Amino acid sequence: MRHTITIEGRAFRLRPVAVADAAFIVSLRNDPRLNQFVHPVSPRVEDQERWLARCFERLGDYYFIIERVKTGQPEGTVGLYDLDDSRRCAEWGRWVLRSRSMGALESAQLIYRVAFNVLGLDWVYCRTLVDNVKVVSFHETFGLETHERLPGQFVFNGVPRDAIEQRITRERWEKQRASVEAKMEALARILSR
Amino acid sequence: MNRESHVDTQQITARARKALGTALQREVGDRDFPERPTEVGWDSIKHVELVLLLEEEFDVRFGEDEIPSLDSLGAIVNAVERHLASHDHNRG
Repeated sequence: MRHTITIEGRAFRLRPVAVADAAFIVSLRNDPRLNQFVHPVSPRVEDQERWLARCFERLGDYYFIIERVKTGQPEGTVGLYDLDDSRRCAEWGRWVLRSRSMGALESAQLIYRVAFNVLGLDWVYCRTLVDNVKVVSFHETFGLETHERLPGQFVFNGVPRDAIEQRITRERWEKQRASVEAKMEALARILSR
Repeated sequence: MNRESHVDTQQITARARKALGTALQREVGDRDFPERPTEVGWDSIKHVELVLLLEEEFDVRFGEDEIPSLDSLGAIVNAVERHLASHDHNRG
C-alpha cells in the first residue's frame, strides 16, 4: 500500500518504496551474488513498476527502501506485509541488501520498530529458505524462535524448497533490543568515521 | 588493550582465534581456520561483534570497506598485520 512511514536509525533509515526505485530493485534482486536465496524478478524495469503499482494497492503491505542516512544511497529493501488485524501480526521479508552492505542489523531493528512501535503489532514472523542458514542464524541471534518448518513453501525455478518460520513477540523483542542496540551503536560509530 | 608493535603473526593468529571464539560462541582451536561462508553461526550480528572485539584486542580501527572482507581467520590476521605495520611505519 502507499504509506508514509519513514523511520531513521543511526546509520540507516527506512523510507517508503517509490516507483522511481524500480530500477534499483531490479538490479538488486538480479545480483548473482544475492539471488541464490532471493526470488528472481523480471530484469525489465517496467515489469517491476507494474509489480510496485499492484503492491501499492494491497492493504497491510508496507514496502521500504533501506538507505544510508548520511548519503541517501539505497542499500536494500525490506517489507512488512500480510498484516492480519485480528491477530495483530504480519510477515516481514523482501529483505535484500546489496553485497557488502553493513545495513542488516539496523534495518532489522528498524523493521521491528515499525511493526511494534508504529503499527502496534503483537508479533511478527519471517519465512526463510532452510538453506539460507546465515539469515536463519541472524534471526535466532536476534531472539526469534523457530515455529515450524514449511515444506515446499517457496518455488525457485520450478523446484519446491522448504522454509523455516521464525517468530518474535513484542515482549520478547523488548527484552532483546538492548543488547542489539549496543552493537548497533558501536557499528554506527564505525560507519560514521 | 594498548597498541603493540612487532607482534608476530603467530600471536596475532592466536588472539584472533580467541576473538572469533568469543563472537561465534564456540571453541576455536589451534587447527581451526573459521571462514564466514562455511561457518553457519557467523551471521551479520556476530560479524559486528567480532569487529568490535578485534578493534579492542588490537587497538586498531577498521574502515567500512574493510569490514565485510574480514571473513576468515586468514583475512583477519592479514588486516591486523597491515594496520599494525602501518602504525609502526607512521611512528617511524
